[in-house]
Amino acid sequence: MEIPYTVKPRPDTGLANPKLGIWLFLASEVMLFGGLFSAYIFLRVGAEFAWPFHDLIVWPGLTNTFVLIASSVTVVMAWASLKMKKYGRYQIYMACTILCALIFMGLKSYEYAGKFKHYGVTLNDGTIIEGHLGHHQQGDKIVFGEVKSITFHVKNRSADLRVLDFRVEKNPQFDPHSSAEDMHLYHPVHEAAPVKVKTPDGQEVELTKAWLEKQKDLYHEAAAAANKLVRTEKDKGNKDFTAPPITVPASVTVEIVGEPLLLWFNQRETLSYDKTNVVFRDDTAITGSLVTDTIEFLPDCIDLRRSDNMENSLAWKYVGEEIKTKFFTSREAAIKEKLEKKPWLFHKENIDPADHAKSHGDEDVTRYSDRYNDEDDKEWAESHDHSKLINVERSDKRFFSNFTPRYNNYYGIYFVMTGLHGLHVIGGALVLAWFLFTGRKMYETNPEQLENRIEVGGLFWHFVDLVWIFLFPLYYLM
Amino acid sequence: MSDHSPSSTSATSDGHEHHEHDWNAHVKTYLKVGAVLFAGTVITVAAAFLPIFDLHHRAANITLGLLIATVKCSFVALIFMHLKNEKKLIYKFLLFTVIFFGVMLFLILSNQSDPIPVDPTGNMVHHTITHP
Repeated sequence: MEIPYTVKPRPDTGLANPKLGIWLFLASEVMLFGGLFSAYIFLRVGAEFAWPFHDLIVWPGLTNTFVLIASSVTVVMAWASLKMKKYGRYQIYMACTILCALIFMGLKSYEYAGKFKHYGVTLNDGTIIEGHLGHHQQGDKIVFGEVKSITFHVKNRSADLRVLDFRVEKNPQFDPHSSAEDMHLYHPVHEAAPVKVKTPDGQEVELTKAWLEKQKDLYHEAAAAANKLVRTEKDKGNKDFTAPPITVPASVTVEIVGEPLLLWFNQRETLSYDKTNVVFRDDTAITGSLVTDTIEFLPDCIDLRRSDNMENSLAWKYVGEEIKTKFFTSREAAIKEKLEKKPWLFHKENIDPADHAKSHGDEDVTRYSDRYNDEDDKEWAESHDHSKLINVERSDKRFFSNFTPRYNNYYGIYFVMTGLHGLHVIGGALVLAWFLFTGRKMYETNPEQLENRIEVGGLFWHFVDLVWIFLFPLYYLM
Repeated sequence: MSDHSPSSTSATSDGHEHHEHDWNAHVKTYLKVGAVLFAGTVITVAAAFLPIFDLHHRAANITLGLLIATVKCSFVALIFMHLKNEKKLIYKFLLFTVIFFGVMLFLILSNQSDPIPVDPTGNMVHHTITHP
């Protein structure tokens, strides 16, 4: 079927259909990204935390900006080459465009991976310690060992075997002095690995869903029978009838056969826990002994912007007096420098520079990390040796997360916008690659249609570049 | 709109050499715009880090950054996307897009004029009503 007006302009619009179509599509894209840009402004203006400033490392973003600009040039050159009837040149330019898209996505993945591996723990006084997980890699999970018995609350219809998903084992090759990235103390055990247990009646069975369901059924059948008995007796007019106790117990305790279990789990999986007992949300209870419930952490930044009292911040308890002294020394120097070099910041309102720093979140006087202070700090922040490993007590923790959307609204909107933009890069690159690899036939039969296709694909690509032109300064620079 | 539009196909009726000459001029423009975009990026980054722009509330930094981004954006739209010589109909569509975008932005930001009073730390101020 011949599609009309793919090349020639329609008399009423004066445009070929693809051109009109892509512009309508781009108009809807403007609204899509526009909504997210206004969400960004809204979140930033109303943020109840110090909006991250220069938190993202600039060079990957800057490189990606150059890469996308270069690809915008190459895609328009590819189109111009077709107009000049130089197919070979078109192929080269188009290949360069797709290469740029690959570089862009590669760098983006590198940045995302860095964020996923970077963590922050907000302490109860508002101080944030940022850093990486230590060798144990358990994050804020509770590690609980020597589990010899499990009690299933079979009265609870929603009781399940989730407790078995938390199993881990110690890595026999673990070396605390190794700096290898994958040197972890614990390895998760495969969820399907069987567990043998001894039931109260002395039988050895494998813990399976079917077994647990059967136990639940036994209890509920007995309970239903008791109910029925009560109803029948009351119907008969026997008002004083009291039901006999249900002979099937409401919970079943099983003993682990063989090695005791080692588990790790998030606190949110539990109703309560102490040094010897844990109760999970489905009422399943285990006994054993607590290995650790602290957060093992390699700090690389202390952010005091939201701290209630910098002098007595909870952070100093963990990183030590030496770092505290260094922080305050460099902070005083920075404030002095500010007073000397930028007095206009303080004269107008006649305010204390320290207060200004706090209310305006000036990083050089409120954060201790590699990017804001001297060489000493850089060394401290970048050396990921385990001598400075800290164990943050759970009672000091307000919030713990890696730098994913849940960390704060900044990272929420950052991942949404750059993720959506990344999907556009992938989509655009796929379409352009299709034109590159299948365009030859059309070039020989209907070159003008191919030119139009490349123009339309190019318009989308330029739009993707346009969005990035705004994303880069908004997230990396301001 | 114009027969000199880079996207118009009327140039094919001219001689081949003239045609290529025309396109070489366009190519030069594209390269120049590319250079402008690169330079704009460098200026944006410099503005974000140079101390002279470190003013109160970073307002200057943000204004300058967005201003440069808008200029870069105009270059891409006008030259790379050929909006400079485009048909009227597309301008009409884009005008509506701009209006709708403005309305959307305004609607969301109007929330900021929320009449509920807050103290400087952002907490809601509770008024105690004393009955006579």
